[in-house]
Amino acid sequence: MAATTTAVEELELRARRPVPWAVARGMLRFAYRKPLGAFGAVVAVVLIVVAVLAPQVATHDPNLMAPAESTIGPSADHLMGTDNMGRDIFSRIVYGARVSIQIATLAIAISMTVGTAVGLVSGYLGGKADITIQRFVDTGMAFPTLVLALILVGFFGASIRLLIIALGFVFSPAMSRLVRGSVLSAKQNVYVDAARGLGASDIRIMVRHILPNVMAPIIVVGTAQLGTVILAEASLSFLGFGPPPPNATWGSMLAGESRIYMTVAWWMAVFPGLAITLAVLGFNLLGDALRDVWDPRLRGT
Amino acid sequence: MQAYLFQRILLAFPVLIGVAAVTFLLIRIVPGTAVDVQLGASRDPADREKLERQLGLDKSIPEQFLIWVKGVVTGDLGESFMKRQAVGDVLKQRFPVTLEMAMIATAVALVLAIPFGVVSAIRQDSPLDHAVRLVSILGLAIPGFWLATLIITLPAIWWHTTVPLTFTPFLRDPIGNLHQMIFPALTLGVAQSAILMRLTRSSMLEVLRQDYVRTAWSKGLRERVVVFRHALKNALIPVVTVWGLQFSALLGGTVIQERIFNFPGLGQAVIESITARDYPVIQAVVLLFALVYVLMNLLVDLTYSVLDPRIRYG
Repeated sequence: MAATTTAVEELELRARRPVPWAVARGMLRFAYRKPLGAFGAVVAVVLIVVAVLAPQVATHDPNLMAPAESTIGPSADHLMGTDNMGRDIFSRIVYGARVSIQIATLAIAISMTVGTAVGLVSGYLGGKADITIQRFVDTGMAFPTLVLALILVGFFGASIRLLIIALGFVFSPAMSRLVRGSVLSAKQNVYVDAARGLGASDIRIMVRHILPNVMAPIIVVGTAQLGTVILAEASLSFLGFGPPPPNATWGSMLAGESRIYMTVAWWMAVFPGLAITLAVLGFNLLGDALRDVWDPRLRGT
Repeated sequence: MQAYLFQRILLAFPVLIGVAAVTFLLIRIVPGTAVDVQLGASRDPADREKLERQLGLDKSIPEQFLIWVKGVVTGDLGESFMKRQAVGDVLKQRFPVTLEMAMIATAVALVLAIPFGVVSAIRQDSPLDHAVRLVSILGLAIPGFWLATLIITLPAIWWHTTVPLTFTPFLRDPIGNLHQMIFPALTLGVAQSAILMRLTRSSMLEVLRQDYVRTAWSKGLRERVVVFRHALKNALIPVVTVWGLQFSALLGGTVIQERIFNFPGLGQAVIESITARDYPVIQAVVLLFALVYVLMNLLVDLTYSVLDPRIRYG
């Protein structure tokens, strides 16, 4: 091969490399065609930014109790009011976002990795290996998810790390099923036989040829699952099985006191609930829009 | 058909054993906690040993597992560490409550989802369609416990009344029981119906584009006949699948509503037994949930052949 690229090769490379304004145009087109999806994307981005920059965005220390300022309504100083212990709710929501996004993204990363690996291998190999692996996946799916998470947290202690691992594994079987389904149909393509004929190893075929073609549903479902994980983590926190205090989590903010004080301080219960709803909504809408854009044939929930 | 059934039932056993084994292992990996909970402050090793022997925890884990499995097969689920009560009795007390809640929630979900999903599909892009889609998207996102909290507290603020929060068994007072049940069941049903509504709609849309439906239209049949006699049955197939899986997930998911609305159901039992390290109860409940999951899967698959005569087994 020539050491320098020819003019033709240069043009080809440039045609394939996404130029900044082409990318921006693509995003605007997406926003125009799928406004709901764009809304979801904005929500997702805002949440992630808030989560990462929590110390900068929060106006107060989320755990600072100031009994003198308890149960103040939304005001200029306390954007979402304070709770019964005088803690600023806006800051707690911001740090709660950090916890939720952290757990959700890492858990989904685990579920996508494990699920894809298992589904890819199982679907590609087929035969006895496939059947055996699917038995294990079936066992995984037969577990009641919330109960499993409760057991793991109850027996191994609540911590952010454990929640990430627990939720990641809870959502892996479903992902692996999905990947396996896509792999089974991708396997039928001619290029797989062609690659095998050229002497490509199984692993190379799996990674280089099949994997890129099954990425679309993985990303779609993964995005939607982000919302589900956020909801699951909030539920666990609500029951007291989430990240322990002093971590501020949306779920724990809705448990206990906020219900008691609801009649005098509605903001204690309303804002965390709105936060959860908005987060789940955003990720679900984004996942839906991605699915519609990439493959309108992908029906279902 | 019989061969298929037999094969499915045979395949179910490894799954159930797998679930039971994993649970068994998970709760015993952290050793001695059941004993710790019961002994409390006492540090006397003799007391520890005695309790361990009593609870059967002094044997090795595989041995314990075999003993437990033998018990399950003969119908003896062991004795609760906490209450000194047969686990079977605990289940018998708690399961009907959870089951009732799940069934009412499911009924609510189906009653909401299918009609609205169908109408949304046949009147696509109408205001009603948009309303249905909006509601279903929200229903998915709103956390159940938040909705429940609002249901309890908002009436208290606005009208100074609250939903009943003490439990009355069904046999003693059916009306009172249902009056209580409707609120948590509604909360659960709303989330369920959101998913089913969207699924019904998209499935119906797909079916309505099929050739046989177009044939029915061109024959001049009335809309009602086309939709109900021809399209609906096939559109419902994916809905039935998802609903079946949802139901088994629902049994495990009543936990939160039982907590908030104060129902002594399986969900509460799970939390209590986990906190108290009540191994037999945990194992029995997990096994029960897994059993329901497997049965629902089987039921759903069998229903396929009823809904779509092209699908035949065995």
